[in-house]
Amino acid sequence: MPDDDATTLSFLHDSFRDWLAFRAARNGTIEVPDAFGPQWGAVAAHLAEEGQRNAWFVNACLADATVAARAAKREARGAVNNLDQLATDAFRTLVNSHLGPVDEHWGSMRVVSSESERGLRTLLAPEGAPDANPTETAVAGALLPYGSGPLRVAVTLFLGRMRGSLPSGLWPPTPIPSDAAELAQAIESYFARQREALERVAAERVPTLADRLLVQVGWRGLRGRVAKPVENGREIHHPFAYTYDNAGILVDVGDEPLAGTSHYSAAEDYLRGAPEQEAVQALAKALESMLPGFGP
Amino acid sequence: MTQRDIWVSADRLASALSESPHAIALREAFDVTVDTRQRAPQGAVREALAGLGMLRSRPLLLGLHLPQLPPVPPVSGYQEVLATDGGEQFMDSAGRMAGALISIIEHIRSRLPGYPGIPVPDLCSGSPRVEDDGLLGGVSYPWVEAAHHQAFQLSGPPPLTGLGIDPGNLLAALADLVNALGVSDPWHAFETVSEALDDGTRAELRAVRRSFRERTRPEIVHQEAGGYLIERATYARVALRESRAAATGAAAAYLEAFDRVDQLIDRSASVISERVAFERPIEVPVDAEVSWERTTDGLDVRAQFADSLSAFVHPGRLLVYLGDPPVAGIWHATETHMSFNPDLGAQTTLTAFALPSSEDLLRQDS
Repeated sequence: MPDDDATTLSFLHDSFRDWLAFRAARNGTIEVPDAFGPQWGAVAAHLAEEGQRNAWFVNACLADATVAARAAKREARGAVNNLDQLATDAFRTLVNSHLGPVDEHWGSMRVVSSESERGLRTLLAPEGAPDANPTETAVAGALLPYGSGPLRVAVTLFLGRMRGSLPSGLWPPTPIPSDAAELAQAIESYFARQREALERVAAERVPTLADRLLVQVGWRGLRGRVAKPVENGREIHHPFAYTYDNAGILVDVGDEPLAGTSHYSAAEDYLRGAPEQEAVQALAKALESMLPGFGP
Repeated sequence: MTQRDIWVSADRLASALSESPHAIALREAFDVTVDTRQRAPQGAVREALAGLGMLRSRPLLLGLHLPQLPPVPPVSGYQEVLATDGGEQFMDSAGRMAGALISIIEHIRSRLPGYPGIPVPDLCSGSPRVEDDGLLGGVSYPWVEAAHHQAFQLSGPPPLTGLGIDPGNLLAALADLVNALGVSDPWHAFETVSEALDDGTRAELRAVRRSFRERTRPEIVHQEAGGYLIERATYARVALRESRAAATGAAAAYLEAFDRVDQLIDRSASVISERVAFERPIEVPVDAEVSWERTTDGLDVRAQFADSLSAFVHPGRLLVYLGDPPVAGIWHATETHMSFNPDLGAQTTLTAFALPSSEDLLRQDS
């Protein structure tokens, strides 16, 4: 069976374990659930690659966005009966289940596809829009390889919407103090804002992935030390050593090395930019690693 | 009315401008398909471009912006270009081309209702489009104060002399471009909201500008953003956005209409600049994975493809996509990203704006 959280000590390499689980699922040796959790991602990808693409399988994948994205990336190509209906249902499920309420109106769109000289042209049209010229009324679309299946179509359009739903605004830069103690204090407050923004945006925009995203980003806490200033050409900066592997937030000032630090920069550089911007960038990077096809 | 005539006129204008020996000097610096081993200033400019990427986004403005950038050793800058054999002559050419484009843009803008006193905060000193001649304005073209105060609205087109070419074709193409822009939807929409401006709306717009000017007083900018150019520009952009957000009703509609027409003029300037600086636009591979979303004035596109083009693609560049409608045509790149994926190898991801009604333009076979 797949590993619940990929932490179990195993005698088998993960890829063999996943392959054997896939074979067992295909042969009916194990019972496959109606809704795949994240631990079924690799098995679902194998099943998709082998040609599974019926409504039951697609629905099982849609229970988790990471499973859907992994299976979509590997989905076998070939002709599909009622592709548009399957893709429409899948897209609506993905949007309504996995995106925040800001995207609610997208949840009633329908997929219209057609083959062109260069591949499968897919459009996302508002429900009820006239069929005569869907290109005119479509709000989004994608050009995919010939024979793309319902998961690939739905996930591509869904990931486009997810990208568009992340905040893209500008945030004001953070004032950078010149004194070491003030820098330490500013970094503590910068990190707290950064983590708060990450938690808020994840919960609002991608609620079903929020917990895993926070783990993936890894901002557990901050422990760091700002050292005395160093002159480098025309610039003066304060070396800053830190780690995110800490329960709380504590930045102090001193020249003694701090045990367990893994990151080094100038305190001034740490504060350059805006915490909210950093949070959105970290979130996007984590989504990129969890959802094949999302990014950058 | 489609926007096709705008892009065709801008392209014709660029063709006329490209005949200038000054344009040729600039193209030798920007277009990496041109061998510059024998041309020292162009080589120094390429080194500068490698370190100062923002200069690539608006190539014809090199002569305006390069002298303003502080030295960033070891990256080549203005002084290094000047010190090369033929450097002064090159910078003279770059300055002439920048002056020509600024005059062209300002002439077009001077036909907008309300010019030069268009009541938007974007034109106040302190705005990222105005400060330092729009050096950090991204892919947007600056509102250069010196040009803005030259009363373009009271005269005909700029003479565009001093480029070493007969300006006849240039001026004919400029007239066509002005006409094409003047019948576009964004231009009409701006005329409509301008005619509807009443005292109350003007007062609201005045308050928006006052708020922005207050927030961008030099001492406030220094206190909030320190001395670095990039932070200061970011602060100004945020202040601009937040000041504008206070506008309501007709004032908000006016600002929105201004943005649309301003952006359209900007895009035509991009076409001119890119077509002069580069021999040909980059072709997006037809097997790229392409997706898009509709916006008010067109389509935002995203494409991902194997990395062979990454060295050439940067924000501001024009690309041609020969795929299917509605995104077939000319794209104006807004962001680019290079990455490596163990399964797919090196990948370029770009986002761009698809210029409306441009599907059959700039093809290599046309």
